[in-house]
Amino acid sequence: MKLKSSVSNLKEVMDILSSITNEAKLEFDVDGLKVRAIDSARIAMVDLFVPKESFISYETDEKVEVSVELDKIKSVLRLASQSDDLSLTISGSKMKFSLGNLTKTISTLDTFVNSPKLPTVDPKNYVVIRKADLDKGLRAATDVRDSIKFTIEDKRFEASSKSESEEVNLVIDNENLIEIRNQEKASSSYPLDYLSKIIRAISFAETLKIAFNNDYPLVMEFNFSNRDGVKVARFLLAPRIE
Amino acid sequence: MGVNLEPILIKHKTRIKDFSNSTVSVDGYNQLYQFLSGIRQPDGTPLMDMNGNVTSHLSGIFYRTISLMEEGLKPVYVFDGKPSSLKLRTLEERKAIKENSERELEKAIMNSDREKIARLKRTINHITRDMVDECKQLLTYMGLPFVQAPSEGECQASYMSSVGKVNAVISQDYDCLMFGGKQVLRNFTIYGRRRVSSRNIYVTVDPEYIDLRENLSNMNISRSQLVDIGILVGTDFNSGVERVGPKTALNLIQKYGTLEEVIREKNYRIPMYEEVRKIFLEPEVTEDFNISFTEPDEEKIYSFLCGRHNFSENRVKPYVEKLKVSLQRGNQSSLDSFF
Repeated sequence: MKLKSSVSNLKEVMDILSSITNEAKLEFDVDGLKVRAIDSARIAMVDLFVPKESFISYETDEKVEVSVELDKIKSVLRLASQSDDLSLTISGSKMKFSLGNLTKTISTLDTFVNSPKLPTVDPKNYVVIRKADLDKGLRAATDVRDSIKFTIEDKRFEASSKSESEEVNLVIDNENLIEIRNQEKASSSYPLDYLSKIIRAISFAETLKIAFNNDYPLVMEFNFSNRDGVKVARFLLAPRIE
Repeated sequence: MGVNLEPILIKHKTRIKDFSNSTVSVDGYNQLYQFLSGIRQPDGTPLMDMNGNVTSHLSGIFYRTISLMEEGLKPVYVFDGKPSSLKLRTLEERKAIKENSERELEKAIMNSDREKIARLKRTINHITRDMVDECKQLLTYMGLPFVQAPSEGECQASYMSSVGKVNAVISQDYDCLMFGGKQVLRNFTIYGRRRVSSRNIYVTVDPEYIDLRENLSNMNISRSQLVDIGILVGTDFNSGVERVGPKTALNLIQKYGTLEEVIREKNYRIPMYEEVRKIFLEPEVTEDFNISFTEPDEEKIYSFLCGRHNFSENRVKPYVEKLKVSLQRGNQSSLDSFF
């Protein structure tokens, strides 16, 4: 299995995965790279697909699965600048990275990390909002409480957090939402630390689709595009029951 | 106590916060022994209230549990039920050791040997029915769930991990791996710089985790074979084979595959090994438990700890606040509920 990619392309994939875990199984098949990972507490899951067109070159005749420690790959990526290109060859339990005149080979994990099943969730309500707006709301809530409540009601989206002494409310009305589907009032709370980490990890996406029901997992979908093409990721987060 | 598998296991130093958001079963008796031996006055005497009742266990359950919760863990204590009849030998041995220590303590007191008195006092720990009942009462006031095991607490705690009801087991004993605990967390309630009174030195105790799957894969054996290794070495339920330590036992199982083959090839005699194996592989456990965290009853906590057992209200108060904050965070659900 061989591929050539921009460093920024792989870095974003690694950043998104490592926002919830340090070990994951990477599946390279004829269509591209697929990864599904869950954190150890089984609260958050990332499910992403990087089509082969996103890579500069991509060659594999069969499905290749490797379980890896993400920090090891990130340490290789740190040796390069964002604009560099990088080649990867996977042979047996070894991953060989070539970066200009530098090569580094790392071992994959001896034991396979299981790819989790996808939960059967189908939230009926969603909004598409600018990532920067959500980021602002999350940052404002950081020192208020360790969870944030999302509400969709009357064609508006609200993110709020409240403690005994402080309160923060981010309201985005219909005019400032890119899209909304509001079948019923939906409200659910989520752990702030998980949300903040994933938002920090997404560098390219400008918009996010956020879907949820009452006390229901959050499904956040985003395309992360750069010069390499379009990649699709889903982030699932279990609710905080309050 | 427990089986000695340490020399053949991969252990990882960790930080408690790395297990944030994890629900963990806690081997209750194992931790109570830790509290009773580790939470003492400088002269080795356990903490006591004004009526002379020991309170080290309550101090551990209250302060150490809340410290775990502050790091984001959700602890579920599991208490022992009726011990297996095969454990009677171990229990008799422990009783004899305690009686011997008590005789030595009397002599040390007569000789005013302060160092020895302190050391012996730390080793003599009795968990009474009243102590366990008090711990359950305090946990209830704190809004925390606990589970009453039908038999061995560590067995029930490990079972809860093996079927995914909790993420890991807090216990000092390696037996939990033989019982199927997916991850065993050691030194999670007693850590940092600790005094070893027997050698009069200080050591740093770090939290660590042991992953069952990683270890089985590394040794290239199954859990059933790990149980066979334990039986060869000796468990709480059997004596093991003389001069067979963990490394030898591992080599034997890797070479011959099963305990039956090892016994046949080496002509060992291990009485009732099938019954011992059954304790680990077909555990006596209950499904009748409910892991739910509720609001703490502050009034009862103060009345129980400060009113009845003379804990300092000034010290208890900030911990009650920390408990309330942690319990709010404890309402986090898992994606498992939505598969």
